Amino acid sequence: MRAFIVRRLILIIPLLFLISVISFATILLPPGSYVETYVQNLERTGFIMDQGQIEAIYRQYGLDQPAALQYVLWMSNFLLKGEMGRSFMYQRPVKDVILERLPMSATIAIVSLAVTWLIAIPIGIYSALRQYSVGDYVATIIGFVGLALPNFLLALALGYWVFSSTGRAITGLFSIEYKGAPWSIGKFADLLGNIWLPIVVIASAGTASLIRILRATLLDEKNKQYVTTARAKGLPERRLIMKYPVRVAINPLISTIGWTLPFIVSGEIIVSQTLGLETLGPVLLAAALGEDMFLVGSIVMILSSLTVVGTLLSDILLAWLDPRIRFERIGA
Amino acid sequence: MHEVALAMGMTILRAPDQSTKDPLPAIVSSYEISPDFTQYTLTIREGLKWSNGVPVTTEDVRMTFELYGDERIYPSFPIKARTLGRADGTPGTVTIIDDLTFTVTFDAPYGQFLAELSSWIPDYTLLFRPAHFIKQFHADYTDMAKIQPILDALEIRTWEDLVILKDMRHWELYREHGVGVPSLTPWIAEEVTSSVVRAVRNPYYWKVDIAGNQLPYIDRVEAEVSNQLQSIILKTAAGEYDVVTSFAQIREMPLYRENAERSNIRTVLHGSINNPPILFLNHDYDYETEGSVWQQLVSDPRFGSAIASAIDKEDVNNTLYFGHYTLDGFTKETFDPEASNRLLDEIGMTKRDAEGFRSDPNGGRFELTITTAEVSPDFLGLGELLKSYFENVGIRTTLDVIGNSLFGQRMNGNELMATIHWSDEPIWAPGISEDYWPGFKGHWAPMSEMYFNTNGESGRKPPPYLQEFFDLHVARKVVPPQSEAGEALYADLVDWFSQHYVTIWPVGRMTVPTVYNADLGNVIKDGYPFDRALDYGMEQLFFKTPQ
Repeated sequence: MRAFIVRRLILIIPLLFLISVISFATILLPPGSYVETYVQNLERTGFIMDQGQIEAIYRQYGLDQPAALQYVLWMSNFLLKGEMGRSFMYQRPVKDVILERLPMSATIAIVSLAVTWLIAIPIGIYSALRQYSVGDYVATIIGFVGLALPNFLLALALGYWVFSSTGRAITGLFSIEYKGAPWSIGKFADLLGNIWLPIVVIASAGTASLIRILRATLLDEKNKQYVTTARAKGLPERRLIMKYPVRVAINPLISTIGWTLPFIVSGEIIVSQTLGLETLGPVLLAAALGEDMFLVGSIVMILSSLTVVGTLLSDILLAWLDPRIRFERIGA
Repeated sequence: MHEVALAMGMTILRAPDQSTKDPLPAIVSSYEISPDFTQYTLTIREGLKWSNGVPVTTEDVRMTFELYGDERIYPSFPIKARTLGRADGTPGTVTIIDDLTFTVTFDAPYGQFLAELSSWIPDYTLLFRPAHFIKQFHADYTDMAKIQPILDALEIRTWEDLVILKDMRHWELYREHGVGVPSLTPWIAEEVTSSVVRAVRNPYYWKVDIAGNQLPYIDRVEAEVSNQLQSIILKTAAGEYDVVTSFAQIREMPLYRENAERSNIRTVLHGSINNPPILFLNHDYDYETEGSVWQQLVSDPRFGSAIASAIDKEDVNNTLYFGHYTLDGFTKETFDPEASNRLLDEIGMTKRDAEGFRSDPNGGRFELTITTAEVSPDFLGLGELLKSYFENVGIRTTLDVIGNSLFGQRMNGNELMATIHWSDEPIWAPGISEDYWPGFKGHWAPMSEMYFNTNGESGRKPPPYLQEFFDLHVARKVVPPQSEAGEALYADLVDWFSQHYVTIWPVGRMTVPTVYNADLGNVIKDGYPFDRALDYGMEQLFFKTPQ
């Protein structure tokens, strides 16, 4: 097991290098640059920038250098100094932009994931054990509706419903007076008044799909011979189900836990965009559209690293949780 | 992300509305122009101070021109400070007379400079940058040992790049790097994050009301930074903003009216700085192709007239704008499909295919491709309407909606046949806006423009009818745009536009709403264009009930 982990960790290094090259190249692929987009946006609002000023900005951002040199400078600063460059759009170091938004991204992702699991696991188990009961049908219908309804549409509809019934517009996570303000009881209460909507929306689709996955896997497991044997030996039903088939049935959850890490950083971009949340997702989208390449590149690098690390964690957790995987490795 | 504009518009001179006719001194106390429009002598208002209390003097003007001419910092001198506002114009020079008086001199008449001094587009930063502030970051004035720690902290490579960052134009003042930069605006940025801008009153602001009270009345301003139009609209209807101008959207008026009492908001409809989207026909598209059908068609005014006559302006107005827009504009044609069909027949587009679409004059397949980006929600609706009108007269039309960035790239690359975009020209007092320029918001002759800007080094040598435009454009810059001669020259330019169909106008002037807190006093309800008048002049606003 230890050798396996060490081997995987060593493999991560060339993988991340490759990802960094591909992501940087992808960012440079679209024609034009941030400066051109910026100048066009200014022109739309009536401002005219002089050619000299435009050229100065190109030089200021290092965009006058060859792409390979831009990459080397960015990566060497990243590795040696922990600097991710400056965001063109925000005119600030990239790490400041990311750190400003990361806490709320993580909070929403973790809370909605917890809500998803807390709702989906019991319902999924119930649905599988009471297959074709009224409760199962209700859960199935809710599950399908949740899967079929696009998240952003649910966000818009709920947002408008809350507004028309209360006169309160829930967009964003904080009222304007609390944005950027230090934490206080008032700010926390304001957050609670706003955060429930994105959590409900994000959790709904996750819950629906998880119920379906858990139900299907558990249905397979509960009719297997080891379950019949255990039952014949007189194991109490509740203990039997929870200790054996459920443990196997949650494997898909564990194997996808690796994706949770990047999700924490920039999950649910469309919902965040629709609801105007102050999370990292909309920043990534705006940066990609505006060709703010160091900001996009840094976020993509962080997401990729977290995906790779998360997948490793999933594998380790699976091996720890499921004896069959452990034994398979020993046998190999 | 939307632009945050907090009562900027600190122009050097100022005339009512957005005009430039006989402007009064603003941040200067007096000015004098030589009869041949080559010399502008200005005297700074005595006692005028930057927002940090440092007096504004001619040293700020001298420093501005020094920066303009320093190739280590700016590779070329700004166009608006060159003779005739041309790329090849000689740079203007500044002569300092004393602490408050200076003269800007050009080597040939440049009457348009009067408009630049009065317009919020270049603003006061055209001539005034805070010298004392910028010198801290400039290696000719400050030891590198003091500058280096700043470079390290900001992750900036060279002192020249630092000067560019700190030497900002007025539209940058409410971005994060604008915090701490001395300005002449009523509010100064205090905190800027990716989601909010907070500004506080400028304690040295120079304007006072008629009773002598210093403006602005409101101490603090907060502006939410949002990239989600739907969020802005909902919060506007909920009364969470005190003033919403440009983004309020006329189609949302029922929502605002319905919630007026509950949310304590009021609405007012008024003119706008922006014009509605118009159709640009690219007269340089496909110009390098021998015997180009598009070139043959677009250079024939009958084709443009046929396109303009096919558009049902009233239908556009009623469908998209509740009938609130006007129907004027550079193209004078009214809806007349018969005339349109007749003109298309005349130019040889007589043959039709099995679907009823016209062939080109040579008998080949013809397709008009209109490209747009979702800059505003109505662009797409207008595109669909135009497609239906043009197909009604037998012109096969494709509407191509692409991303904003790609739209700009393809437009710059002369790859688009026809585009939909805003343009502002006729709403301004004659000729003070140059939105009509062929490569500005929508492109109608980008390669000819390149030829003009590079003095023939690259681009397309304009055909005679396009050259006429450039000649008119240059001629009118010699005199002030709202002088008698200037207005006559602008009328000639408008005639040129009407005759050559580079821009086709589906509707005319816009009407847009402003939504404001019912408790707010001194809200401007007249004047034109109103939305910018408010964005750029909020210092008189006050709350009737103390906050």
